[in-house]
Amino acid sequence: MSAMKGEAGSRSEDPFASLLAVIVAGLLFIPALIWLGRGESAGELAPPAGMIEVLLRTVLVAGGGALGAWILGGCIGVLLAAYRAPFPLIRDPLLLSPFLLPSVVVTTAVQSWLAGGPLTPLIRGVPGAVLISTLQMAPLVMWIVTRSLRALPEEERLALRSSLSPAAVARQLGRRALPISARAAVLVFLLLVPRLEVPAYTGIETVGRRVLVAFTADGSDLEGWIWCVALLLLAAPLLPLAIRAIPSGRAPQAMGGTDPAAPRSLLATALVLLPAALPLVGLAGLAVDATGDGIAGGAEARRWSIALLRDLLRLAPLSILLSLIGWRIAVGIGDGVRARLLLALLAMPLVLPGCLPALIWIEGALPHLPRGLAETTLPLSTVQGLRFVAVAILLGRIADGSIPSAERAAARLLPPSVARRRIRLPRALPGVLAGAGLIFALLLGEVESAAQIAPPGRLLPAVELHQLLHYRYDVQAARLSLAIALVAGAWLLLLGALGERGGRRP
Amino acid sequence: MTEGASAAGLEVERLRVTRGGFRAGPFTFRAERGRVTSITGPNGCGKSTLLGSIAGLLPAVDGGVRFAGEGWSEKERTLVPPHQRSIGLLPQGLGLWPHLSVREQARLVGGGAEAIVEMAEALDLSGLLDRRPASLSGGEAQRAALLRAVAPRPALLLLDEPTGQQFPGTAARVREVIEGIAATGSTVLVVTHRAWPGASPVELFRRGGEPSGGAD
Amino acid sequence: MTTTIRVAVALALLGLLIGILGGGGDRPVVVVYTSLDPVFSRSILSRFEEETGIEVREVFDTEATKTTGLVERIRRERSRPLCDVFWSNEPLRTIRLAEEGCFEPYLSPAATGIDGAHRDEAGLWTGFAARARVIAFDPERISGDALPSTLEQLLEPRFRGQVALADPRFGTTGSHLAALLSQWGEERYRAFLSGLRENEVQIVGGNSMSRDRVLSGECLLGLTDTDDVEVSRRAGDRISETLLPEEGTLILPNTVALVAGAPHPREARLLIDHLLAPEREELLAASSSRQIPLRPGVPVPPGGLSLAEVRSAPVSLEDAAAALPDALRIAREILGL
Repeated sequence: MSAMKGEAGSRSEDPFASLLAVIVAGLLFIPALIWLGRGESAGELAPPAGMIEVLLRTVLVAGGGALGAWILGGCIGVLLAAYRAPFPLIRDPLLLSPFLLPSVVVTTAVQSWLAGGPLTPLIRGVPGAVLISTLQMAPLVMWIVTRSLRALPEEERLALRSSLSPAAVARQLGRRALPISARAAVLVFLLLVPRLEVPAYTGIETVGRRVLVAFTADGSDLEGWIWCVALLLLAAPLLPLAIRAIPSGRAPQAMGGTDPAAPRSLLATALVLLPAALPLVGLAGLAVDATGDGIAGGAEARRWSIALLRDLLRLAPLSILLSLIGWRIAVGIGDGVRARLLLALLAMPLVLPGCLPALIWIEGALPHLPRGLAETTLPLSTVQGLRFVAVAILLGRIADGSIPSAERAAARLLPPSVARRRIRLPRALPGVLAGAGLIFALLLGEVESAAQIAPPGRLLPAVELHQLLHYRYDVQAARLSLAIALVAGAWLLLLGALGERGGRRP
Repeated sequence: MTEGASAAGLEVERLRVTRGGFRAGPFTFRAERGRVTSITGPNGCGKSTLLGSIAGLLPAVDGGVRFAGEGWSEKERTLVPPHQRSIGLLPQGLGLWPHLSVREQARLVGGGAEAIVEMAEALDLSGLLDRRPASLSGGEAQRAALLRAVAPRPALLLLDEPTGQQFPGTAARVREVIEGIAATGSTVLVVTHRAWPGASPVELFRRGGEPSGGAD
Repeated sequence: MTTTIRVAVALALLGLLIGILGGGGDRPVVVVYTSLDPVFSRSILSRFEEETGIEVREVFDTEATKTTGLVERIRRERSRPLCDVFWSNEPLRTIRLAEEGCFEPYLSPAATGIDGAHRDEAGLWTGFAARARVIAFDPERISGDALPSTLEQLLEPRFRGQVALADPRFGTTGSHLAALLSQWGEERYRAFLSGLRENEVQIVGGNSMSRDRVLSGECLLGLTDTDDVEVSRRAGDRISETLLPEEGTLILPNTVALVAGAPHPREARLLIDHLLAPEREELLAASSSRQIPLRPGVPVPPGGLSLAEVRSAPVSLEDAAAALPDALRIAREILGL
């Protein structure tokens, strides 16, 4: 029973998980129904102009970005697993930094470096959007792949090392990483499909922008809904792929940890670390530029520190809570038609533009909340949570999948609630916490719903960053983005350390 | 299966199991209460798969499992979920939980504090009760997993190669403990490569390329 | 382990609660939605806080959804407004919101000196400090007579693929097109847009991106606003602008309005008075936003712009506001947006 796949009844319905999923789905769909019920969606029911072209371009950008991230992130992930890189403590946050930085920073940084030169065509239009999405999402794939390979059973790792050359080991690991990296690429695709910023900065029109235009600028709500349906149809075939269970014992585990048998390679290390370190070094160079002080001195710095701290206070617990909810739904929800439907509903906010859940809440839920609550960050936190609950469920499944099947089989002889509390959660905790770190980064950089539903008087670092970049306060923007990356990296490190501890000791 | 057969303890009838692409069965046999029944057979004939299915961890596609007259599974339907079957299981991969000490694991499955100490003594684990699996040797870990399986005094004990990693001396002690459990009225099913002295043998064999078999 | 998890979950919930609810107080409050960038609006609002002791809670717009995001938010919050004062950096969408009944009249005593063309008679909205639409260029690549003096010169073959235009569905570019439609009539407007498309105009995300195309050398000319050019110039970039001296340019004042059903109407009126004071126009004229004071007496610093030196295109803001939906519909149709 060392590899008990296809476990009987392991995906049977768990009422609490289903209830939780229904409640979460209700937070989005009840306000949506209230909005739709008002019947203000005037407009004619016809496909908007240029629909096919815009859809194809969206698929091209998201698909290209996912493919690029798959190849680049997969290769780096395998290299990292095959060779030993120094400074394991800072390695992961450093490598993840392009993902931890808000996408608007990555986009403007790449564009300002390459614009005007011979490489200009690479940063504009579809190629530009694909390139920038690849650069930003590759670390996510890399992270999942490395973790998955580090979780190989000890015996298997030793067997590989003793019989093959390092290069051959890397090839073998690459083959082993294919299924999990493909799933990561699907996740990247789903994250890229509704994105607004990168296409806007590279000057192309994608579905996300069309939805935003229809709902907020020009056009009708009905047109917006037509685009949404098109987007969902586009992503629907991939949703089950993304939310299906990862085979047991083949999933990524906790943070950190290096195969002690792996050889050190300076070349591999440099190859892997340099591209990640460069943007940070560039930002740091800009940030210490004293000329920026004239525009915004101590008061500004104090304001951002407070804003970052307040957002950290809000997002740190929110990311953990979301990760736990995702894990709980992931381990408890069944595999039947109803469960899949529920999961598909929960995944919708992920593939629809971020502004939509915010608009739904402004129109459908906010007027019914007490004013005291409506003016807090509760609506914003709920909307941002709804956007990424599908990621939390996916990461929850990955975390649960990292429990070896024999342990899981032994746990199934315990009452399910005991097994979850005493075995599955503690064993999945490193993965759940690492997932919380990723979700934290996503939440911190989230600007699409933040821009719509931020409570009055609340300064949000990601929104502020947009303003600074727009007004060419590059030094301040560099400082703020560096601070954001540092906060996200530190939180990731802390969660990683907690996860490692939790994995070793209760 | 007739009503009168319930005294036999475990009854497996034309049980077919799938695991990934691997299909095993049909298996038909009975295991009496108060006795050790040994299951032998060549590699790949489905011994471990059979144990997994009896425990309810692997899906049956046909046939049935009954215990003490109660239907546990019928065709592809699970009638009693694994945690309500009063089973002690020693899986091939041991499945010890690395974050809990040996004592905590045995307590968690329902073993009484005194019974655990007693059983640990019998299995030569007395000094190791508060250790985590990572600090145990292969043989010790296997005995720890056995301790976890027998601690709650289950009505049905399913053991996959329980002496596989033991020296001859400790293997004999392990056998003694297992037979002691059987003597208290439990039904004990042991998957083994070698014959188990004094056990009722069930032999599995390959037929037409597919594992199947079973004998009364 | 379970205790650790329970404590962690409890702490997480507590932290979330503090993070969500924290920051409340007993001070009087006013809520302002503003599309003027925080780098300019913040100092003005802080000054108001210092002078009155009223706490200002602001919501800003982002570049990508300039103005339209807040307009939509006010519209959608109409059944229960959270906002007291709408301070827009663009007049047309404010006028449309006024027509939809989103504002209530307030004739501020501080608005004296602002002429009737830049404010609503009934006091539903009032304009102050304006920006102008300009064409940005790199003075080392093009200058003097080579520069266009009318918009329609952008259709000349020498500018093929060399003109950047921000997405008209957001921000001031849409306002500009609406003004052109009301000024020119549909036929000339359509011909202009078709000409732009045939001359391979580059549509970009926002006005700042239009300027950035000029900075990077990808375009010779970029249609944008005075403030976008000025902040870039002050950051040390090589950039200049032309205000279309021949046909005049569109002047876009900031507008301020009192939201109908505002939760804090008294504080809202005080804030509106504060914003409309001449000192605020002076401040905005001196800032890197380089806005144009609408009152003749307000001093303009060297390098700043005054209403007298900018030739204003003969457009009524109300007419332009009425033309906005048609202007955008036609633009989308012709430019394929």
